[in-house]
Amino acid sequence: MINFAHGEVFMFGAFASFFFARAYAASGFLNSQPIVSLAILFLSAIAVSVGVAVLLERVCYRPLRNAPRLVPLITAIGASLFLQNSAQGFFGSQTRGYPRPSFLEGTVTIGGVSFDKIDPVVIATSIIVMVALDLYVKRTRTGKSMRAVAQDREIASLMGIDVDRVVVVTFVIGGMLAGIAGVLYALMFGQVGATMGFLPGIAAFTAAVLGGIGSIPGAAIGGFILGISESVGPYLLLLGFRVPSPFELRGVITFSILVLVLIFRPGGILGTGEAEKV
Amino acid sequence: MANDVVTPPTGRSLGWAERLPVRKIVLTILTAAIFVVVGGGIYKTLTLPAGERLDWEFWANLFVIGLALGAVYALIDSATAWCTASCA
Repeated sequence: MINFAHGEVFMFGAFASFFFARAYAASGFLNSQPIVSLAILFLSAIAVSVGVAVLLERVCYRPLRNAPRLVPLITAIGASLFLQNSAQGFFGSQTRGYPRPSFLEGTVTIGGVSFDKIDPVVIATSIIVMVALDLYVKRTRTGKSMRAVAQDREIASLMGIDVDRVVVVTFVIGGMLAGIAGVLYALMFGQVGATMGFLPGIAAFTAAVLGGIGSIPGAAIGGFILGISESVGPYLLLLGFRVPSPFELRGVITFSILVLVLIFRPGGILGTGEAEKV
Repeated sequence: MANDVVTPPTGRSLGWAERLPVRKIVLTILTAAIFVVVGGGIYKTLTLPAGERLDWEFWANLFVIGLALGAVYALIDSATAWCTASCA
């Protein structure tokens, strides 16, 4: 089962924090208390994303746990469209500017290279969260249950693991990460919109396949490789061929990578070499 | 019916054509094509005339942006990977 609606969970988290960010920017609180503001933005995004993710699992996926594989797949696509259209209906279809605290505005130059101040913040936050997730999955009892359920749900159930509870915990963690990612993405690009979750959701799935489904270090490696390929790749590969707007073809690079990984290494870089879960 | 004649299998085959490793051939051609396109593209970009060539600060900037974008993908995809694995 592929949770295609995860991009929309991410989008709802970003939107939830947007309303706080807009109000705080209007009142001046965003710049007078930036750390407190950011903490509230992250907490609001996490709360909403977790709520949407758990609701998805309870309403859309749990009743179909033993259905043929195609059924939850179609449901996931349906849920994704439902959430996307709901967001368009309730929040409008136009993109909205996402205010940034002033200490994250502008660029910083290190070693002659200037980049946005938000970039290192996004990278550092992501690495910290990924390490925490890896430790959680490897060192805790619930993490061990998650690995057992991912390996073989029926055997895990026979060993006394409450599969439903473990799946809900997985969706809660997924929602938390999506909420954090939503705020970081909105801060990076300075905007939110009802369709903002679709392409990052597909790209993230590509990264998951590239790294290896079920492997957190693989997910991190896949994400970074894909991000760099999407950013550097169009210029590096296409500029020499005199393509007028190489950056517009970044999606071509992403999906070419997906197709090539599925052909040459369906298990991903750190995966098992099996393609069954995909 | 009793008079129906059942033709026995002739044992004919396509011979060497049947034993061709089609999948291997296609994958080899695809790999070669990827190397040509990727390698050729990188070479042509890096050897552009001086006026059109992009400086290293531009590449470094793109790399940092890519890392930041990748960090967001990593956050989303680790969750996608686990939800996929545990619900599969």
